Amino acid sequence: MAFDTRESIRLEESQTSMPEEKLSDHALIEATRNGDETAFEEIVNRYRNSITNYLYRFLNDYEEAVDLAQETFVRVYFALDRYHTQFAFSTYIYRIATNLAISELRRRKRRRVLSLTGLFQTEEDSSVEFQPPDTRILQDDELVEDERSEVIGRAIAALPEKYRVPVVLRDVEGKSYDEIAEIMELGLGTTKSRISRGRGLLKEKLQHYI
Amino acid sequence: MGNKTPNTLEPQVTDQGEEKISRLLSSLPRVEAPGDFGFRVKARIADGKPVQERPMWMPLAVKAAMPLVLILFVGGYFAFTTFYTEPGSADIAAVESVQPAAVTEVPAERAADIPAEIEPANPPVVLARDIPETRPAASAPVRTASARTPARTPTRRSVDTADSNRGGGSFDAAATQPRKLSPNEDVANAAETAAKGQPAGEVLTRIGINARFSENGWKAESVSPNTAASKAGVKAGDIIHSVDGQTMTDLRSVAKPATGKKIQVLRDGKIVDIVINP
Repeated sequence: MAFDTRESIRLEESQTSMPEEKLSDHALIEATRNGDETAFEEIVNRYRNSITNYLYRFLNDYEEAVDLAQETFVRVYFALDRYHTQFAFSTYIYRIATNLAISELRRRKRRRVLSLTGLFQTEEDSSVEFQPPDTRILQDDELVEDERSEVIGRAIAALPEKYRVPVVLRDVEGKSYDEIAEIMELGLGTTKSRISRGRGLLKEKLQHYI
Repeated sequence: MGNKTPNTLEPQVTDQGEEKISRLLSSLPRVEAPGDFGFRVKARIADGKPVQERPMWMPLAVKAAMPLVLILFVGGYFAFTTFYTEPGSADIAAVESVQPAAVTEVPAERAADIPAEIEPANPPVVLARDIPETRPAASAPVRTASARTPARTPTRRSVDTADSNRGGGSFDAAATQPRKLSPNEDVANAAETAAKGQPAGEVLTRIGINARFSENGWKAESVSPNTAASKAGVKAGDIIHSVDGQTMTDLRSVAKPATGKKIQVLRDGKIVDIVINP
């Protein structure tokens, strides 16, 4: 799993989309409909990192996030004929990704089994395993940062999905309230209250980090 | 680590705690898609269609009912086997009350001696010759039952201990394979044999017929040469119908001490009288 800062990602995305930089999403979709495969590649390049990051923060599972992100683009490709350009493409693709992620969460709930060893383990114990001593000089800041990210990721993943979707879209992906309302197909007031409620739940869990 | 600048056009978070949470989440490091992401998407598209969620192969109601059906099936099986084998068990119990002498093999000379000494004045409580009349089909169900439920097959021990010695096996094996008896057991069984009758096989062996009890009764497997039976014309394959007037088609023991002087055999579907001259 590769981590990077928001700025570096934006820089990279701007570099990778040089040829069709001026083309809008709708133009690229139209070109794809007309058989231009490179136009769809450009769409993938534009959104792959943001969709993967969104799904990763939603599911807290990188492999699953990558898999669902790919599935999102496949669905977009096969549903291009049904896409109406009056909607923003980013709203459209995030809605597909959200629906896939929610389906995955529900599938996980169905498949959840009770581990016998889990009965005798606390959550802290479950990840403890023997590690040889690391004699290198500890980079404390990095370790603290990793731990903080992990704890926050777990806290987000523990939110009910109706709060998790708007909170991640708003605070992780930086979407506007209107966009989130469109993605979730909810009213603006409901969207805001859910975001507020989700943040409140997170605040209770992350007292030590704020 | 870049912090996200809140969108000034949007309503700002009012609560300080919420604002901190918002900043905390926006400061999280972002993950990238893997390098071969586009290639994998292309490959999936080339496969033709998106992966559909697998439909439930069974309705939820059926899924929920499956354990109940399983329990009913298992319970029904045990109930069926219990009720089905009960009649057979009853027959076995009836046979156990009359048959132990037949399956208890005592050396011939010892069995011949003991009855003379300890033969009771009163006849045995259960007379073997009464059994065919009261239970004409006793042997057939017993064999069927024993084939199905070997655990219920009585061993060659006495009736009292038969229930505690369910070891499987068959009547034939039990009747033909002698078991080594301890002295005490030997005497006890011989006395019991004398009280209840004489082993049919022993009577037949005495006159030279090597018979084996089968479904049809005692069947002469061979007749020893130069014996009374061979001289009288008993042939291998004959089915011994009676000895001294005591029917043997259904029984494995002769209730009264028999000499075997007059026997009836079933040969080619006809009963043939044979007089044995010792």
